Amino acid sequence: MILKSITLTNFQCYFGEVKFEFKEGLNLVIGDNGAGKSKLYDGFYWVLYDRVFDSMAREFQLTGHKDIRGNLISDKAKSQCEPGSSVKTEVEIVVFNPQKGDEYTLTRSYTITKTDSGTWREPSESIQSAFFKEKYLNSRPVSQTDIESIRKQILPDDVKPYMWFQGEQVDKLIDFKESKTLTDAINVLSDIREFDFYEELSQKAYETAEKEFQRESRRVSSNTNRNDELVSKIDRIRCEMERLEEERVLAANELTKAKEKKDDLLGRLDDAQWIKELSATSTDLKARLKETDERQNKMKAAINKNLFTRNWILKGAGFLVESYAAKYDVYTRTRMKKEATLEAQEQAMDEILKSFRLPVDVPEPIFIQQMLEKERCLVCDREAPNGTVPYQKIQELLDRSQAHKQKKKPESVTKNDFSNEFKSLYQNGLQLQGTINQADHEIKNTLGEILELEDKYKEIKAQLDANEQDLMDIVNASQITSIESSFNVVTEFQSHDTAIIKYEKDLQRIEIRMEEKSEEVKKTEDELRSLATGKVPKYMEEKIQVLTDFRDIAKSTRARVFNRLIEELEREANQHFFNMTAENKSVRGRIKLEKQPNGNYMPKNLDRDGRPLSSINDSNIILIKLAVIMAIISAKRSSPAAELYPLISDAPTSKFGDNYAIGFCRAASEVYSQSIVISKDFYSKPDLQNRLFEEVGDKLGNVYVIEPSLSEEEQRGHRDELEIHVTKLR
Amino acid sequence: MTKEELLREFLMDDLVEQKGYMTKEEVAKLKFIDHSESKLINTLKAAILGKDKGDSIDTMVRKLNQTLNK
Repeated sequence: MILKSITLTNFQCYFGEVKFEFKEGLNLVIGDNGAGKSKLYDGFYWVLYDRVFDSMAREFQLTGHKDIRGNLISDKAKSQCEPGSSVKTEVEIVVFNPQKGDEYTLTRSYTITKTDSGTWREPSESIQSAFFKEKYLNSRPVSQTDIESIRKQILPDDVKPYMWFQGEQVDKLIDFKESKTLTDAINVLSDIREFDFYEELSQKAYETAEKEFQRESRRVSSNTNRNDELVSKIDRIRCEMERLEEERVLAANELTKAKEKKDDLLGRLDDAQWIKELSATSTDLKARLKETDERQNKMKAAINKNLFTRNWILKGAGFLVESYAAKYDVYTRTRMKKEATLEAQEQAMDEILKSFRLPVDVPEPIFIQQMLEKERCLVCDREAPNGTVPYQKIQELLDRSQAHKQKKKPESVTKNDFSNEFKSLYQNGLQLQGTINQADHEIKNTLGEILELEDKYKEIKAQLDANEQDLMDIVNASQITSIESSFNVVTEFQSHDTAIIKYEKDLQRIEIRMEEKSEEVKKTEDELRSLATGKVPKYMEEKIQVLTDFRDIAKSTRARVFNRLIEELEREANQHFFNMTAENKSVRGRIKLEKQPNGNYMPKNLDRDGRPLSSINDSNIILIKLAVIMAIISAKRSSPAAELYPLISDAPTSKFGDNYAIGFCRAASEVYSQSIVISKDFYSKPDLQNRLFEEVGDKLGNVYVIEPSLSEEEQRGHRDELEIHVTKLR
Repeated sequence: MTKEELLREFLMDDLVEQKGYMTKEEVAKLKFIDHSESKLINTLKAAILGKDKGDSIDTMVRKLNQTLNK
């Protein structure tokens, strides 16, 4: 079917009648944000499915709800409606079947009436839809029963998601976590289902023939009871085989899921393990930091205690002892010197006293006595009467002489004698010197250790900071949201790994059991044949043989065609992926459709060496999906989807950016017989438009630009003035 | 796929040669309208024609049985 046109009348932001005509090839509707692109897409949807996009629910909703219906009609049309009058919105689509020459007009309308009080009332049958078949200028309504079949001709429900989609829906078309979705898409969009039909037919034909063969075998059997026993035994074994097959499918599915999950985690595993290691290093460093800090604090705290318990308070007092010792030395030397001098003087005096009766300058005491008695100095021969000074002087000589003879009290060297105390202090000092030296040594060592610990603390802290920074960088750069989740990734990965081993063993065990059962069936069938006394008709034997072969060939052909399709798909998908990403220089990798244990296929993005790309972003994932869908259609250019159904896509590359838009449109023009791409990527970009027009060439259909009468901001407050201007560019 | 392509797709399967029906060279020369004595080829043709006509699986099973009973 080719979509010839869509006419929107008072539909949402489209005021009045606005018509878009389309041709085969690539048709473009270009518009900025708020220009009515999605409303145009809504128009197609409303006519065919009575649904419009509900921005609150983020999905297409039936217009059964009044709130949704309320938004169908243009606000400007409603504002211009007089009380008592009605306002109607209508969307009309014209489709054409080039193979049969049939043209259909599909319309849906909604009418409301403005009451005198200004409120809106829905007349009965306010929503109406109509299908008309146009042929040779005749228009006749399509009967209600045919509507569904025509709708399916326009776009079957199962094909719809792949042909009509919005940019934000592409992500959901193929779920990378659910491998079946790709297989489903292949089934829908390729002719592989035709082979499913033959597989089913051949199986049924074989089963019917086999029953017939068994009946005939029983008839010619020599032992009917044994025959029945063997037949029921075969049935029983087959039942067991069916059960085993179910188990096999289950195990294969579980294995696939575990592998998918493991693969899914694989991209994050390196990061997760790295995060785990960094996290463990952080924990270790924190513990070491804490230990260092505690040791440091403990040592600092011990300093106060050791001031008294280990005499650290004497730190640096050694010089005092030395200084004291030096002074004490001076003191003792001086003292000794003084004492020696005194002693020498005394000794000298004693010697003199011993050698002379009087001192050298003093007469003998006997003469002094005579002088005193005579009261006359015999030396100078002058008088010295008693009581006079000369007498006293003579008297002194006598006293001095006598004083020498008396035992003299030892003369003190200093005024006060502290020598004992000084000595005691000196001795104490000598004793303390060792303690002080020890304290100095201990303090020096302790301070050295504290400094070492401080350096160690700084070093560990620097390591920790660097480690934490690395950790944050890797968390931010990876797809792992938090450090905690990295532990989950590793644990999950290991658990999936364990599950894979388990399911692989299960599969192996089931396959061995199935082989055993198959052997058992064969033996039982041999025994069954041996019971036959008569002969089963030759045609019947031939029939069962031919139908067995038909069944095996149909099954094998289906598998072969499917595998070939997968190879083609992979090649085509990579071509589309390459085309779409040609303008982008970022890493894109290569698409690989990987077979899962349960037979399904899963698209993977691999690097040049065949390893999964871990750095792919969301845009790449969506592009891969888009490329795969396009490949499903382009790989089989004769596929019904490519031939019969138009692609309608609203902002298909909205998530990718301009670089991809041209690639997508070029690929779409190659793949789809008709495509209608509604996009903002080419708006106000004449260079990009011209490039596209050149590259698409004669596959370019009509190109429209849509522009709102009000800016997006103005639209908020003045919806009742809004209308859309349409300009045909090509 | 055309009837011709479908028939060739089935007959190009390795099993056909392994079971001694036809070689790949013979298959390459075969046309859908060619008469054949092979019951397998005739069964395949009947299946393809039945599908083309829109017959149901049950109808086709019955028809195949009838064909092979001859």
